[in-house]
Amino acid sequence: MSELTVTSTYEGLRAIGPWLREIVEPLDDDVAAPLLARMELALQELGTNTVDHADSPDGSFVLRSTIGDDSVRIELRDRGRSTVDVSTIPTPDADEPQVRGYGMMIIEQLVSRLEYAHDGEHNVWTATFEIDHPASGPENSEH
Amino acid sequence: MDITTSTHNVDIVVVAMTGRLDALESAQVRALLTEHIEAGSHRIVIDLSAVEFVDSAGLAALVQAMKRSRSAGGDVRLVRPTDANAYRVFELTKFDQVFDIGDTAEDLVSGW
Repeated sequence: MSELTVTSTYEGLRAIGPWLREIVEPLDDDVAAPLLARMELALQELGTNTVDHADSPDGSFVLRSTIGDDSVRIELRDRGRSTVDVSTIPTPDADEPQVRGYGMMIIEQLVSRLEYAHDGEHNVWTATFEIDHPASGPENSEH
Repeated sequence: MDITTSTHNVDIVVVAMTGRLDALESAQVRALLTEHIEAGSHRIVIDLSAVEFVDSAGLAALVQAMKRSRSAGGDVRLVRPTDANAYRVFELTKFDQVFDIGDTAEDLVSGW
């Protein structure tokens, strides 16, 4: 498990990419690169949402990663106010371009699973990214 | 035979960016584009070819400029980021179908 404390500012979000790069380093390049791209954009959006809305009293939030054989799980935990009800976030209308409001739409297309909980003190977002292992080796080849 | 000749002097601004177009940079980009629009430049080409990352806040700065330009009879056209990952946010939000996007600034300027 790896952990990163992120200063709750737009500048602070710049630490997320390098941290994610370290997490996927053990994976093969052809698996790591697309996974990293998905994770970085999703976590940037989730982090921006936290900076904009959570108003965390300690001015930071914490990311924790768990990497398994088939997925990477990233937990974002902050002590800000609970302002998020995912079911109430409207999906932007593609025919009527709007300036903001696309963050959750983007995240949902990048993650394999997204969960939110409020445990009384913390907002806890958990994003799971399944790892796309390329088919390789004789056991996967078609005959 | 009728021959009509007209000369058009079109004011087109080309803005080239590098690095990350994210929440940290979006305010600066928004201010720059607003400055051009308020100065009367409503046809803007934004060259994103060397941009390595775009998030929804960066996208928002472009969308705001595009809406203001179109309402003034102009447009914001984009040069596609070379990095497919930087282009992804346009596809995920379907703004790849809203913006006029090309491969080079020259193509987009000459098409005006």
